[in-house]
This record gives sequence, structure tokens and C-alpha cells, in this order.
Amino acid sequence: MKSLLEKLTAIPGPSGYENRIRSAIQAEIEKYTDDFNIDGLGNLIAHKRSLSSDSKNILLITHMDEIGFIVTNKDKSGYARFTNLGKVPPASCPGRQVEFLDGDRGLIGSSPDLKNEDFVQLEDMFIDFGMIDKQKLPVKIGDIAVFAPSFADIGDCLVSKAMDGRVGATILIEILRRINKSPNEITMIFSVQKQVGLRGSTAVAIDNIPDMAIAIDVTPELKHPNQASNGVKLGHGPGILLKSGRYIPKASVKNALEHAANSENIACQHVIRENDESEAAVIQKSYAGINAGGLCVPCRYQHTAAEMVNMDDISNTVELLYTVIMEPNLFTES
Amino acid sequence: MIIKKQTNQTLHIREKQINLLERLSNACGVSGDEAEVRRIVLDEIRPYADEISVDTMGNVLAIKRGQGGKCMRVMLAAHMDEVGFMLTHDEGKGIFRFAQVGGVNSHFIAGKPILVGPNHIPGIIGVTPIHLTKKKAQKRPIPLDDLRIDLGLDNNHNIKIGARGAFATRFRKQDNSLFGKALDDRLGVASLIELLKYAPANIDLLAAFTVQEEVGVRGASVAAYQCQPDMAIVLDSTPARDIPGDSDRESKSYNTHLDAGPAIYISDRGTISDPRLIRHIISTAEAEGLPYQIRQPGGGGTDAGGIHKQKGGIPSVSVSVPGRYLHTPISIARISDWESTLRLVYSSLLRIDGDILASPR
Amino acid sequence: MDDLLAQLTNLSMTPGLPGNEGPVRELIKKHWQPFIDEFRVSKLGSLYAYKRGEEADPPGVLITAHMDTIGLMVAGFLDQFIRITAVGGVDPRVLPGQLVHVHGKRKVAGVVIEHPRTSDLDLAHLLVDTGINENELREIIRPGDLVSFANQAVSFEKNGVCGAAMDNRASITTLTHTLAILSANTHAWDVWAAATVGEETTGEGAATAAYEIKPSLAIIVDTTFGAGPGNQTHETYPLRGGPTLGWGPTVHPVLFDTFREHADRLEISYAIEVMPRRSGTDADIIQVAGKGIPSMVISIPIRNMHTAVELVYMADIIQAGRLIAEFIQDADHNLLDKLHWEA
Repeated sequence: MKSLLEKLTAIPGPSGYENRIRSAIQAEIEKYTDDFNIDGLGNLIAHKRSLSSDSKNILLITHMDEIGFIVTNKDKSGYARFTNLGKVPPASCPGRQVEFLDGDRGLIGSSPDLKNEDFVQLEDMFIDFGMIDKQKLPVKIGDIAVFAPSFADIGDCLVSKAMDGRVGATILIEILRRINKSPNEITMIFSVQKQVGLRGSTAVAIDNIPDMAIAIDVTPELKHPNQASNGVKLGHGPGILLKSGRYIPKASVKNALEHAANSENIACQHVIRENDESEAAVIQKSYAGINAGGLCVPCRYQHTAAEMVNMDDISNTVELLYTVIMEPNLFTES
Repeated sequence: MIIKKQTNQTLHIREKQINLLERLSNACGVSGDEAEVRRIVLDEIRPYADEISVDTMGNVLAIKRGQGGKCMRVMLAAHMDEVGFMLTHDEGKGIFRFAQVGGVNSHFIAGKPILVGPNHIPGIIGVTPIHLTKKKAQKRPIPLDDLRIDLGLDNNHNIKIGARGAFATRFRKQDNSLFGKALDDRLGVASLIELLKYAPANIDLLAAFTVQEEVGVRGASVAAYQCQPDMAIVLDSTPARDIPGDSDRESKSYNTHLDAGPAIYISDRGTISDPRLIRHIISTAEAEGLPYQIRQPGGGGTDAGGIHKQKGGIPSVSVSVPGRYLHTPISIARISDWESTLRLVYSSLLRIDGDILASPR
Repeated sequence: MDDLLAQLTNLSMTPGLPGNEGPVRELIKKHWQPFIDEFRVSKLGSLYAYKRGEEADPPGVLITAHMDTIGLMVAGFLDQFIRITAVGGVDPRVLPGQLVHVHGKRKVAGVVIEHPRTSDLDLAHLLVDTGINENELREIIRPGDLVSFANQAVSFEKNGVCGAAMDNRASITTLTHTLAILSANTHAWDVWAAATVGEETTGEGAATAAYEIKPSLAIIVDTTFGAGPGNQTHETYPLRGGPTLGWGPTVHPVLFDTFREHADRLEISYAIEVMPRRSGTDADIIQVAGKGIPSMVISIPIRNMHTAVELVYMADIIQAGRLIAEFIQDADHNLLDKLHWEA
């Protein structure tokens, strides 16, 4: 799984331009799924049918897109100005290398001499292409980039850009590899444009309303000393979503996840977050309502070029989801 | 079956089109009360559409079917509403508190004339005279809470709270420039009327004249739900902030320039345009020798925000006429920019075939 | 009137937090039982109550009020104290000293207190003290458990009721009154009364009700800001001045005019509530659902919204209920035609 994760994080897939990462995911899942289709926004929807006629139906959704940058201006001094695609904290940027979709590399400028105020907003920053002739900028307005890839092992953890956007896909691919015959119908959605406001999950059409839907994503490990919410920690297992912004998942899904965890002795954590959004909220209120919930992998330094996750958390999330999927009644009667 | 050969016409902006824009610009249609604009639209399009309907929110939906079998269903949207005001509290003696409807640029409204209600009753946004204002406050924009709408002492027309007010600007043409209120988006509405009149035979043209775009893109999603198009092009107007900055500093966020032609959207706050459609429009411009510019990515939004997220996902892109001082009493746009926008969209429609969405996004 | 007041009092003290609206839903079902032909509970827990109209295959009107309230959730523990997080838009200024119920394995009472070391009034610095020791507490309570305000409703003279959850139980009671009047009379149209979930969170109840019921038009009942201490008069509406009729882009102008005509005819006092952009109610979602549903907003003024001492007067509820019933009884095919914008 680690090499799959490394491979997927290296492929660029900023919000709105996910085709390359989608092709890679498609290549991984083709032989394990019964059918799949791609919708008008680029969402990849795959099905694994069950063998029994009275099976339950579970929907798993994770987003493929990562945060990115888009050029807004080429200024007179020969640098490119940019803005964000998705949440890009300004502090994440100075000194970082970026990679454009056509392969060009750039460097987000920084300076130890300038005061902090000079780099407060993204609009104060610029991308340097290292051109001696400053008029020969290789980019134009609207060109799109992501953080340059940089996968690494650090201690017990893995670090890379785009963990947020690829960890979920890795988990779902691994699950598909493991399942031979499934007692339940599985729909997997690899969604687009989550980082810019959950647009892919809003647009995705669901033909067969599932009995349960789970959104898989990373969740930030908060590090404020006075935090009131139950802090999520790397290495302490998958996080079961209790609240995300205004959204509250359905108790039945929450309970099913806890049951599955207990039955396999998988240690879990609870996730309560004040500001972040979850695709589970979108799925829950679609059509006539769908029982939905969230399962999260803890992630430190989310939305930076070096997001940190723990491989055991990822494996345990796979175990937990696999247990739920393979249970004939999806733990819904417990 | 004889299929009428589509001759590539050249669309023009001449006196007829400018007169139509004048009527549209002078009409008042603050979000939620688009009736006056809707009447003009319906009158204009009736002879040209195969089917016309007005939906639950007041969107006008018109279809002009293509010829020769199954055609690409192309939704074209332009919004009929404009930003303005609503009277919220009667303080007596003709004075009302008011709220903005849509993102009015509040630095531009103090001391301006307005028209209130469907009968266009004159009013003004009144101010405390500068003579009676404290020195510190004289240099700052007046907070909205301190402004009032003044209908004159008598309010003989019995205007009540809930009435809407629009800028009182009268449209005028001067050389290559057009001055008027609500060019956002009467330019789009006028263009869409023109496109419906010359609808290409290779597509099913689903024209949506939408409501309530300025208060959160509300009409467009309802319109898209009914149209169920294969793709959408939104015709809007977008700010040209191409004014030299203080002490001649380079203007970083100009958004678009006047005289640089139609602005193609790559990304705004509400939509990341479909790259297949962006490529199609740019290659059309290059093939036909038409000018175009790329709107600076970043803020703002159009009806595409409500359209592209319909179930199944609808590939969408916006193409706008650049305009200065949008959302203020007097906006300025160039006739040449309007004409090249209309031509670019028209040519792009003519070049749509089954392959445009053949490869996935 | 007394019955209705007793029902509202009861509703105010029955929890119905987002994700766990069961208790209040059962109570509402009991109140509506005498008037309803069929009940259904939606996937997300909303109550849909169907009352057949006299006409064969008539249009349907949806009358809806959200039954969920704001509240708190157990976020974790700090020794023997409970950390909390908000569910919906909670006002932290009114929390210290508030008696609450924590709904764990059993219902446990507690008081919200301020952490002595902080000066900022923020939910992150508030705790709940139940008086139970740490070990036993963790047996009974878990993160995710919901916390409701535990006020006794208080009656004021002239049939005023003050307590938690008048937003939006006052509106539910309004619908109860409407249903009672409809039962004693005839109406051509089908009526769907919906007590929805999730208005304080994601609007999921409104979205899914619109999808499932697909009415021809909708009347959304919610609460609005009653004139009171610290409020500006131009932003609030008098208590005992009747309901407010919403006006703005979210409201269909013909529905507004129809309601106003009925109110004038019946001499029901009302105020006009301008909503220049959005309404801030479920109408924002319902109006643009699917191919669009013409909507009307009726609001009941209450004081001290989003606290545990919301004050409402029965007179406003009864007037509103009566007005809605009158509208429905009068609804016929002419109304549907009038809703068409000029073509």
C-alpha cells in the first residue's frame, strides 16, 4: 500500500483537473470492479455487484483532488502571481517548489530579509521560474500547478503533498483488491472538486440509494493547547466522525463503524471538528435522505506540501471498512 | 429530408441591438422582481423559439431545436436581475432605511438618484451635508446604516417597505462606449436574444433567462434542472478593473481589460470551467481571428455555479463582456467588446459537434 | 387555547437535537394524530403527516416547521468535567450557569461552567459539571452524546410561554392549530405537514422533504426576532402583534398577496418581514429544490432567540395557525394559475 500511496501522491490532480489521477485510479481498479462510469464533472463511479439478490448496498466516497495554484497575472518583473484552488494556507507557500500540469517547475519566492507582513496573503507572493530573461515566462494566466512531489519516511510516519486526496483512494483501492466475493453491493465514488466546496459529491448522481454511505478522508490533528474538542492523534487509529462543522452523521452509521471496530479489536478515535466540511453531509441530504457517516485518517500539517500520516492508521482504516463491507447486514441491525 | 445548410452568418451590433440594450438597461429588475425585463425578453423571443415557458421562479426558458437528428443540448444562460435596494423600515416623512439586494458597491451610492417600485417613482439616497459632518468622517465612505432612501416629504404614491429600488441611470451611447446601469447582465440578455434569433441548426439551443443570480445564483439551478442540457455556456458581464493604481503602481488584479475582447473564465469562486469547453472556445477564437482574453482566476461567480452541479454534472463555461464599474450606478462597456463576444459565442456554437465531450473531463 | 399551551409547554421540555429528534417526533405525532390520515418517518427522521383533500387527485401544499433545536455535544473530558461543542448556532454568552441534560446511557443533569483561567467567552473554554466522579462518568457518557437545555417552561400572563426551544416548537404548535381547524372544516387540496430535522445544521430535512413530497407550493413556519431588550426596532417585530409575513426573493409575491388578503379580511394583525436576499429559513432550500416550489414564509416573533428563555405569546401562534388554515381552505385551481409569472 505504501508504494501505491507514493505513486498516487506524485500524480498531479488539482481540483477541476483530476483526469490524470483518475486514469491512474481507474487502471488500479479496472480488474476488480464490474463496471464504472465517469460523469460530466469527472467523478469516477465504480460498482462491485454482490452475488446474492437480497444484499445490502453500501456507498463509499472519497475525493481524488488535491489543493493547487492557478496563475492570475504575469507581472512586469517577470514573476507569476497566483491564487488558490482549495484551501491553501499562505504560510504553506514561501520557499516551496510547484509543478505545473505541463511539467514546468517553479519556486514560490521567499526571503529571510523581508518582514512577515510581506508574505501574509497569497496575492503578495509570486512564483519564480528561474529565467534569466524575465520576459520568457513559461506560463500564462490560468495555468495550474500543485506542490511538487516529495514523498518521505519520517520516523513512524509518511510525509508527502496530497495525502489529502490520495489516502482515501489508496484505502478504497486496497479494499477492492482484497474483496473476492462481496455479500453486499458496493458503489465506490472517487469524487472531484471536494477541496473547492464539495462540488463533485453535490453533482454525483446515485442510481441505487444505498443502505449506508461512508465518506473516507483525512482529518487534521489539531495542536492547540487549549482545545476543547477531543484531539485526534496520529497512530491512534481511524477516526469515526461525530461532527464536522454543522454536520452530524447518522447514529446508525456511527454505531456500525464502532461495532465493526469492536468486533476486530481496532482502536478508533472520535472526530469532532468545528470548521471542516465532509462529503458525508452532502450525501446525507441528497435525494430522500441517505444514512451517512465519515471515517477519517489522522493527518498532521494538512494543506501543506508535507502532510504527515501514519501507515498503521491507514491499514486499520482498511481493516475496519473491509469488516463493515463484508458483514452481510453491514452491522445495521446491531 | 432536406437539412438546411447552416451558413456562417456574421452577427453585428448595430442600431437595432443597441436600442434593445437601451430598453433592457433602462428597465428595472432588481433580484426577485424581474417582471419588467421579462416582458421585454418574452416580446423579443416569441417569434423565434419553438417553445417558451416561464417556470416557478420566473426564469424564461426557450428552446430552439436543431435540425437533422439528435443534436447536442446546449444551455445558454443570462441573468435578468440587477443589483439594487429594498426599503426595509419606514421612518416617516418619506424617509426609509434600506438594504442592499446583491453586491452593490456601497462606495458609489451616496447621493445618487434611484427609481422605486414598478412605477419608477423617483427617490434619492440622501446624505448628511458635508458641512454638518465631523472632519474624521468626511474622508471615509458613509456606512450603509447611515444612509437613507428619501422619497420626498409626501410619499403620495404610498410606497411601503418591501419596495425595490434601482439606480435611475439612463442609458447612452458615446462613440464606441455604452453607459448604463445593469449592463451586468443586460449585455448577456441582449446577446442571448440575438443568439436565439440566429440559432444554429447543429444544436438544440436551450436559452435560459434567469432570475436571482445576484442573490446567490438561485434561478439558474432551477432552470438547469428543467433543461437537463449536455453542456452550458453562461453569458455574463465581468468587471474590468483596468484603472491605473495609486502612484502608477501596476494593477495586479485588473480581472479583465476593456478593448481586449470577450473574457473566458477558467476559474471563479463558484465554478472551475470545463477545460474541454475552454479549449473549444479558444480554438474557435484562434481559427476565426477573434480577440479574447482570459479572465483572471479568483473571485466572483456566474450562473455556471448553479448549473454545473446538477446531478450528473453539466460541463460549463462562462464567457463575459468586460465592463467597468459594474454594480454601481453607471457602468461602461465597449460596443466592440460586446460584438466580439457575441461573435465568439456564436462561432463556438456553430463548431459544436458530437466530439466536443467525447473524452471525459 | 389551554390545550395548545400545554402542548407547547411539553414540546419545549422535550429534547429533539439534530441526529436524535426521536423524542420530540413521537410527541408531535401524538399531537397530530387526531387530524392525520397517514404518518411516515423519513430516512433522516423527519415526520411527514398526510391529510387528504376533498378533491380527487388535487395539488398538494406542504406546511413545514423544523423540529430540531440547537444544543451541545459531548466532545471529551477534562478530569470529572465534560468538554462541549456546539450543535447548530449556539450563543456562548448565555451558557455559563445553564442547567443541561446530557443524554448518555442514561439522562444526567449538569451545569455549564466557565473554566476559571480564561477570559474569552468561547465554547472551547466552557465545561459541564455533573457532580459525578470521573470513572462513573465515562461509563455513562461518551463523546458524541447530545446535551439539551433543561429549563422548565414558565408561563407569563396573557398566555405567554417562556422556555427552551420555542424556536421552533412555537411553529410546530402553529401547525397543530392549523391541522385542527382543517379537520373541523373541508379543504380541496392535499396537505402534507412536515416536522423536519436538520434546519439548525445542514438543512437536510428541508432538502429531502422537498424531494420526497414534491408539493405544488410550500408554507414554511419559523420564528423571528421579537422586539425586546437591546434590539433595534427596525430589525424586530412586536410580540402579540401577530405573525410576520415574509417578503423578498424567496417568497412568491402572489402567495404573499394572498396571505395578506386573508389576514386583512379576518382582521388578523401581522407585520411585514422584509427579507431582501435570503430568508434564513428552510424556504431558502425549498424554493429552489428540483424545478422549484413557490414558497411562503410565516414567522412567529419570539424574544431571546437561541437561548433557553425564549418568550412567545399564544395569541401569535393561534393567529398564524388560523391564517394558514384559512389559506389552505381557500386554495383552489385558480391559485395555481395565479402563481404563473406572466407568459
